[in-house]
Amino acid sequence: MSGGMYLAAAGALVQQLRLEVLANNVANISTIGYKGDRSIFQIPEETESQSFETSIEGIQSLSPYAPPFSTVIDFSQGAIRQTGNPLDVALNGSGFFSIQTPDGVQYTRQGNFTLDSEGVLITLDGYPVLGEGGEITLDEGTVEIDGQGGVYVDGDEVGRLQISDFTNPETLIKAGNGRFVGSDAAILGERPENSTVSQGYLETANVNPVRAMTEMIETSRAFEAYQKVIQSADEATSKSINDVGKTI
Amino acid sequence: MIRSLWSAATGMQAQTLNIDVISNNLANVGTSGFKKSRADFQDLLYQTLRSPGVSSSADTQVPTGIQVGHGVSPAATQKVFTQGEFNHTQNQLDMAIEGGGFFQVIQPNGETGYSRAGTFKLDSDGRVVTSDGFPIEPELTIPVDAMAVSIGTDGTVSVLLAGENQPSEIGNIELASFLNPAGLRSIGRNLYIPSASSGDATTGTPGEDGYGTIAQGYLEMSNVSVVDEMVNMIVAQRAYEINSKTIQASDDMLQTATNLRR
Repeated sequence: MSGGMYLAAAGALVQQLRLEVLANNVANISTIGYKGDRSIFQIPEETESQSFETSIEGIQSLSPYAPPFSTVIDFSQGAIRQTGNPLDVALNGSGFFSIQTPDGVQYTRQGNFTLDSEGVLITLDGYPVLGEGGEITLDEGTVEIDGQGGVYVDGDEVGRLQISDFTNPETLIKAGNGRFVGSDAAILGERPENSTVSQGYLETANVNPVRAMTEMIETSRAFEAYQKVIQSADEATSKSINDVGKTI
Repeated sequence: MIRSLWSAATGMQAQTLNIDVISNNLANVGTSGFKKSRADFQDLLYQTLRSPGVSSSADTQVPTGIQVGHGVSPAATQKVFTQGEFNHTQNQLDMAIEGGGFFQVIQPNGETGYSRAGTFKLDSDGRVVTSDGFPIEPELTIPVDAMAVSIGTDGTVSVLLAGENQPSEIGNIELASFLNPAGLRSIGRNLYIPSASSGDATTGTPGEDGYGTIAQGYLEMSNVSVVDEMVNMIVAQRAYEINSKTIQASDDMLQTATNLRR
C-alpha cells in the first residue's frame, strides 16, 4: 500500500489536534488571565532532511508519520480591563501570582481574588494566595494594593503579594483553573523588577479572535488538502490494481 | 469524536451564563441599592500529550510539549460592592449609606436580612419598614404626631413632635458589616443573607470604625454602568459567535473525514 496515505492521515490528525487547541483558546476568550496555546510546526534544527525517520531523534513526534507538532503557551500580555473591585489585581509585565494548592505551589495570572470567612485572600476556587510571608489575612477596612504588590488595610501593611517568575516560562504546564505548574525543567527566577500590580484591574485573555479565525480556516483547508492526498493515493492504488496489466 | 466540538460547546454555555448575568444587571439598573454581578471563568483540565522538558536523549530535552485543553467552565458570579451614585429624593425616610455597611431588616421568618437599599416607609403602626414591609433592626417607631423626622449622619433618629420646639431623639440606626461582602448570598428583594464565606455580621454605629455615614433624603442607585454592560454584552455575543464557528469548523472537518470513502 502507499505510504503517502498514512503520511496524509497522520497530517490530518495533527490538524485536528490543532483545531482542538484553537477551540480551547476561543472557549476561554472571557477567562481572566488566560494565556493562549500556540500550535507550532517546527522541523528540528539538527536534522537536515525533513523526512519522518529523522524526526524521531530530534523532537519526539506523536507518530513516526506525523509532522513535528507541538504547542507552546503564548505568555504575551493580555489587555487590562478596569473593574473597580478592590480585590481584583492585574500584573503588568512578566511574572505570576503564587497560589498554595494541595498539589503544591501553582502560578497564575488570574487576579480576581476574594476573601474567605476568616479574611484570608483566596482564589475563586478557595486556595490561598501567597504573600512573601505566607498567606495574607485581611481585616475589615479599606484594602489598598500598591504597584509593588504591598497589601494595606486602612494604611497598615498586612502582606506583600509574592510574584514569581521563571527563567524559562515555556516549560510551564497548564493545570486548568487558570493556573500553571512548573515542570521538572522549570527554573524559578528572581521577582521581576519591572512588573507592577494594578489594583481594580484584571488582565483579559490574550486570545486574538482574528488570528484564531484565520487559523481555523487554515486548519480546515489543510485538513481538506490531506483528504485529497488520501483520495489521490487511493486512486493511484486503485489504478494499479485494476488497470495495470489489463489486456485490451 | 473531536474534542473541539465539546470545547466550543463549553465556550457557548459560558457565554450564555455571561449574557444571563449581564441581562440581570441591566434589568436592575434602576433598582436602588443593587450591586452588579460579574461572571468569572476558568479553563478546564488539560490533557498533556507530551510534557515539555522530558529527555529526548541522554543530554537533550524536548523544549516544548503538547497540551490540549477541554474548554471553559464558570468559576463564580461575583458581586461587585462598589459605591452606587446618589439620587436626591427629598423623601425624609430615604437613606443612603455613604461608605461600607448594610441596613439590617427582620424577615418574616425571624432571620436578619442585610440590604443597601434605603427605601424605607412607614407601616400602619408607625414602624419603619422596607418596601416589602420588613421592619428595620433595631426597630424604630415614628410617633403619629411627629411633624418631621431627621436622621443624622451617625444614624441618630429624632423627631419634632407637634407643639414642641426641640426635636426629641427616638432611636438609632445601626449598620452591619462583613469581612467578605462578596461572599454574601442574594435572596432577592434587595436582601442579602450571610454565607459560610462572608463571615458573621458585626454591627456598629454609622461613621465609626469604617462604617459609612447615613445620608437622609438620598437613595443609593444601582452601581450598574450601562455603557460597561453594553460593551460586555457585545463582547459576550461575539465570543458566542466565534465559538459557534469552531463547532462549524469541527463539523466541516468531520464531514471531510466522512467523505474520504466515496
